[in-house]
Amino acid sequence: MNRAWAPEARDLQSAVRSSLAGLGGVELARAAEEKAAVRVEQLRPALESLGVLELDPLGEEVESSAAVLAVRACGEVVAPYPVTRVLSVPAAMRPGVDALYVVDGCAGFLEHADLFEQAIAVDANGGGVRRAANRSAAVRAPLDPFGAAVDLVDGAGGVAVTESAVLMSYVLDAFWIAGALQTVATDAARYATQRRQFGKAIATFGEIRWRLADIAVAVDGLDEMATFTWFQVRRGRASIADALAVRLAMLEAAGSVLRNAHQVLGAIGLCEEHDLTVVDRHVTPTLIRPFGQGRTVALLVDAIDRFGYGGTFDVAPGDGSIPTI
Amino acid sequence: MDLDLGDPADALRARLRELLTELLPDDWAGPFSDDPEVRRVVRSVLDRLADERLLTIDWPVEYGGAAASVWESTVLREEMWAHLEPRGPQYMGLSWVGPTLMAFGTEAQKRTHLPPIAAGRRIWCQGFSEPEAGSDLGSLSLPATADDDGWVINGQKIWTSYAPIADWCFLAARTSHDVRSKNRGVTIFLLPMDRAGISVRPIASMMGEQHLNEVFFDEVRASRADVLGEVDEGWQVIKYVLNHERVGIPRYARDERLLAELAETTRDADPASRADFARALVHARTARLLNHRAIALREQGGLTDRAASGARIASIQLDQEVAGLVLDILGPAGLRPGTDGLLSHAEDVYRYARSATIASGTIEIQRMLVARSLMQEAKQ
Repeated sequence: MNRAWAPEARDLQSAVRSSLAGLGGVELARAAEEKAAVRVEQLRPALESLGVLELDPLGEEVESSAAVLAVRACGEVVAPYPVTRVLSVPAAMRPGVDALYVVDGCAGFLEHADLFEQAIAVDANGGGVRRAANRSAAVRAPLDPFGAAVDLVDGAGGVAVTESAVLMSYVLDAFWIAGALQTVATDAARYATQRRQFGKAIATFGEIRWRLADIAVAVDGLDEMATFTWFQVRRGRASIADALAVRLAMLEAAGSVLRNAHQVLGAIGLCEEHDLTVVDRHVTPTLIRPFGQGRTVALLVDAIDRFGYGGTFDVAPGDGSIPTI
Repeated sequence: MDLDLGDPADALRARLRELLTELLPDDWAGPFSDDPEVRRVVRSVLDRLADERLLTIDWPVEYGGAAASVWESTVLREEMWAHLEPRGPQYMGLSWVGPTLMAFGTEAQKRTHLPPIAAGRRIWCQGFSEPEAGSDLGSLSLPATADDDGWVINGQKIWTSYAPIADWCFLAARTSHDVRSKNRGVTIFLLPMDRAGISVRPIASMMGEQHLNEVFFDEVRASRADVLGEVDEGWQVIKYVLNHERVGIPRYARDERLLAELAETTRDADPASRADFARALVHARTARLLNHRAIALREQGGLTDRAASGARIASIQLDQEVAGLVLDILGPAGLRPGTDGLLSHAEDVYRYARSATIASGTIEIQRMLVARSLMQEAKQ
């Protein structure tokens, strides 16, 4: 076992962090909500200058590592540019396709879809590839800050998206959310040591410490699941069951971390001037699209029955006869 | 980046499964029974593993081990636990008593204890917890009072697993009171359980036989030769022991086996149970990965409380989740012990899982450690 990321990937992650910090960190997300053009005027050039948007997560290992660590760095500040959608496009399909979304039936709104001329959508249920058409401008909503209305239409030119690209799309989402949750964890822990109530730091209270512990375990668990699934996808060992598993891990981790962090921070964490509120609102589209926890579990049950599930003791595939939940 | 455990570890897993398939009867329900046949099975497993140098696979060669990699050692622990620990209580001697003796023992102590531990022929019990010192181990107060010939020990230990069948006790006692630190003044004694003045009272518990006991010390004599490490500096030994225990039992391995065996039954279960089953599989994988991370960090000398206790929290919560899920899906049929494979022991698994968040450091203590670690990181 060798758990070390390639140094070049680490270096890029650091460079992305520095660049995003220079642009204001989470402040950039606030600014983009006020002025959507910030995404293409400030953020996209920064990511392009670092070569992030050209990375292929299904390419060589160093490049793939760099891709997922760069995505994680973007997640740490909920960078308002859909780097996961751009990097999900298989290298062979670029530049003819500039963004790839995984959808569940009709899409309605897709985040940042207004930024792309040639976005495609892959149906999570095997419904084929469609083209995102009739895009509106981003229509700001608290829990969907950059959602743009789209119609999904046939006419994607007969393109076929490989299964590994779809699986990697789930992995990229997990890394992005893992980055965001790490920021929340650090903020909550720092606040707990600074905020005083009843004459002492609230970090001295067991209830607060237990919440911090649950946050840390959730963040670390998601990081491990994301890394493991990335590793399995790269080696051609993953099925959609593994991708849905990491999505479920992501959804559960986000639920635990955000709920506990809000409780630690109290009212201040609900204020727009605090990063927790911004992170919470900006991660929500990724937690809900293409589907939330209930639907993820239902699809996972079906996928386990069809493909089995690897472990210290493997769960064998079934005969595919169980009724879908 | 390579997350595979490696070919030697994979080969060892395959070999262990062959051995256990050969040696364990179909109705194997674990080693904690007075049934002579169970004892014979345990003995046959221990002898066979010793013959193949698998009992001490991760010990240094100079002590009869094979200096195996940490991942081979991990696989051994996973397979043993997944198969209801057929080594019985010998696992304690092999996992932490032996290595602690190597680190702190005198040559005489090593000669006395390591060969029988390596052969799987010496059962130890751990005399740490006291009625007034559980999670707060530093408050242990069992007095060992010095006199001209050594020490006289009077008092009590509690929750001492395997005490009725143990050959030796790894005992922590207070030999002095240091006002600067309650962790000073503790000394570790290695005492044979048949020494005059030691008596054991089993405590009936929902976990079953052997798990919980009281050990009483009535004018028990100890000499300098019984001391492990330095007098009054036993806390260093305890820290070493706890460090070995930190990553803990690979509970996830048994849970993954339970889930794999439960899969077929689950296909006929209601949708809610199937959803819970899928969730448990994800949690089991997460727990395994967190444990492997902690093991890797320990190997590199960079193990943090966040990683060690975090892995443990994930494991013990998983243990209770899976135990509850198995019983829930099996329904009334799971309430009574059976003899048909692992799932027929669902009720035993369930009872034992109640202790998961209590034994070897409560989940509250683990959470305290993780939180402290996270706050330290946040300050940086």
